[in-house]
Amino acid sequence: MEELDKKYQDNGFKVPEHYFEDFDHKVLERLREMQEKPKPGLRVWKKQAWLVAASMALISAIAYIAYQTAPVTNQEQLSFDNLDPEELIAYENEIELSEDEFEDIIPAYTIDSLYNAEILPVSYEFNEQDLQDIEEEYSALDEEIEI
Amino acid sequence: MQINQPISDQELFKRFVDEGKPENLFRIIMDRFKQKVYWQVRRILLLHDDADEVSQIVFIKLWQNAESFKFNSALSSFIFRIAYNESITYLKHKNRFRSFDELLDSDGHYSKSITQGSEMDGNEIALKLQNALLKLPEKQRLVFNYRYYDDLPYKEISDITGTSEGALKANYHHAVEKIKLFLELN
Repeated sequence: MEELDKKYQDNGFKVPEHYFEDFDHKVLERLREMQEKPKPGLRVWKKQAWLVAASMALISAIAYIAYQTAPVTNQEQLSFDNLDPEELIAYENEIELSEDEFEDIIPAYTIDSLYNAEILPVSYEFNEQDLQDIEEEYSALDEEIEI
Repeated sequence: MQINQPISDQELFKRFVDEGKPENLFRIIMDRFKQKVYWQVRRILLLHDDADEVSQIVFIKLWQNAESFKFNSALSSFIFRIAYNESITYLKHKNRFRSFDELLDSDGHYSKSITQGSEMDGNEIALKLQNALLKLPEKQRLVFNYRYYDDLPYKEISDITGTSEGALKANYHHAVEKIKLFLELN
């Protein structure tokens, strides 16, 4: 301290007149206001909660309107009903589902229409002639094998 | 509640806390410390409006945190530490203060306010010293202010700033040397 002349010790800053006389009053006034007001944390939380709720409601409303009014895209038009039967069979083979699982995924009417359309009717009722033809065919085959 | 006889700062503050923080005792505490707090803050922040705002905050914080004072140190150290912390926080909020090693007045904002504005009373010597102080790194300026203007011992400055006494002495020494050089050259 001794290094510098004490003449510098007046810091030279100006202060408004009567500033220190009013100081206590200003501080006490602010303290009273703080005590009267609800806790700011709670108020902020409430305000934020309202903002969040309002934002969510607005987003939901916009999403609903957009969903209702949006044009149907090609991707949305795809369904099992519109698939080619071959694609369906390929899909079935590929995904390796059990029959029950497959039926759960693909509506029953789709399966019916698929099989009715593509699989030829097969009869298990053989007449006499049919049996004879089969016997002859197998006999000829047996002879060839023996030779 | 009347205080008829001299009472120490510690006793006064203990009564203030024990009696549920009555307003009249808080007025007495403010009377004892408001000018010291204001000038400490003013010398850090330089501008009156900033110092006024922060000084009020210091006493509001003192009222709010009165129960946390442990009576192990001087009440003045407790209050000046609040003043120091609030001043630094205020500076950070104003975004003019990034680190202790950085000059506070790097953009010349305060030099202009002091030399061209209404912050100084026209005392040329004081203005010269303030301009010299603005050239110092922040920590040197703080230590110089506490030692030169407030006559605080290093121990108390250490309590306020959280810096070791050795570092404070070194900072003060550098500050004095730089100020002397500045005053000789100007």
